[in-house]
Amino acid sequence: MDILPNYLQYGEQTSSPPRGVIYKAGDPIGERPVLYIIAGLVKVEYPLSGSTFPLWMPPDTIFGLVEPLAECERLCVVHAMEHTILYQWDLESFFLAAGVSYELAMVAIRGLTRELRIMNAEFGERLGLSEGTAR
Amino acid sequence: MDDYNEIMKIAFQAEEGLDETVIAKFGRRFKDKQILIREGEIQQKIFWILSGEVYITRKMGDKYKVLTTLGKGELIGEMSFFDKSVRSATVIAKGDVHVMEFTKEDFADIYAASPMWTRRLLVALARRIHLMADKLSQL
Repeated sequence: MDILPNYLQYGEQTSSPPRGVIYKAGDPIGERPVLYIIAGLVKVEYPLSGSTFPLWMPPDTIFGLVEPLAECERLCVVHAMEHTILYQWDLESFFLAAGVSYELAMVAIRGLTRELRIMNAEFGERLGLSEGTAR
Repeated sequence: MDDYNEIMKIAFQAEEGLDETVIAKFGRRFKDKQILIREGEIQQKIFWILSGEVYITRKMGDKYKVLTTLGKGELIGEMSFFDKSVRSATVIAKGDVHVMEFTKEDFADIYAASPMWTRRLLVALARRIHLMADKLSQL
């Protein structure tokens, strides 16, 4: 493939078929827990009481970083919604790559920031906090 | 490497590695009930708490509802800093608070000076996502 960003290094490429489960809530984080979407589409579902809260991840997004950093088992279910090509790292190799690529570091930081922002908004909406806030 | 990068390296390689030069350059003190960040504003600054605590609040009518309290070692304001969002909460000092304050322009230099900064920031975000996932699972 000739379209790979040059910050994809120190890890390895992998793929998932359509509807493939990449990991499930409660799974251990495994050897290469950090994943970058080269092509395809991924759905991340956080469990709610009796339902789930979905986040859709397009190409050039990182996922799987939360649990190794928070030192916990997998918090969510992740499915490939299409045939999806991924790049995966162990945590230290990821930081090695992010340590030499400002762009990769920014992809990771913006990704987690955006995820947290969406979760905060969902939490706020469910608690009715969005009413009366300055917009 | 210039003096500025040396300062940043000292600042972010270890929490205990702060010296007076760094604190003088980036440190800022807030008094009890003073506002660090105001909901609804566009401001691209990030704060790292050196001592004290802050309330993270949202305005509900004329009052502020406290969502959580953050203390030493926590980062504040990273969401608006990196993702161009309007400030989603008001951050208020709970007693005297001492922070390091950085602007958007500082960040590339901070990154260049110490990869630990990226790790520290990602760990802070991951812990908050973990916390929020727990909260959401109980709704």
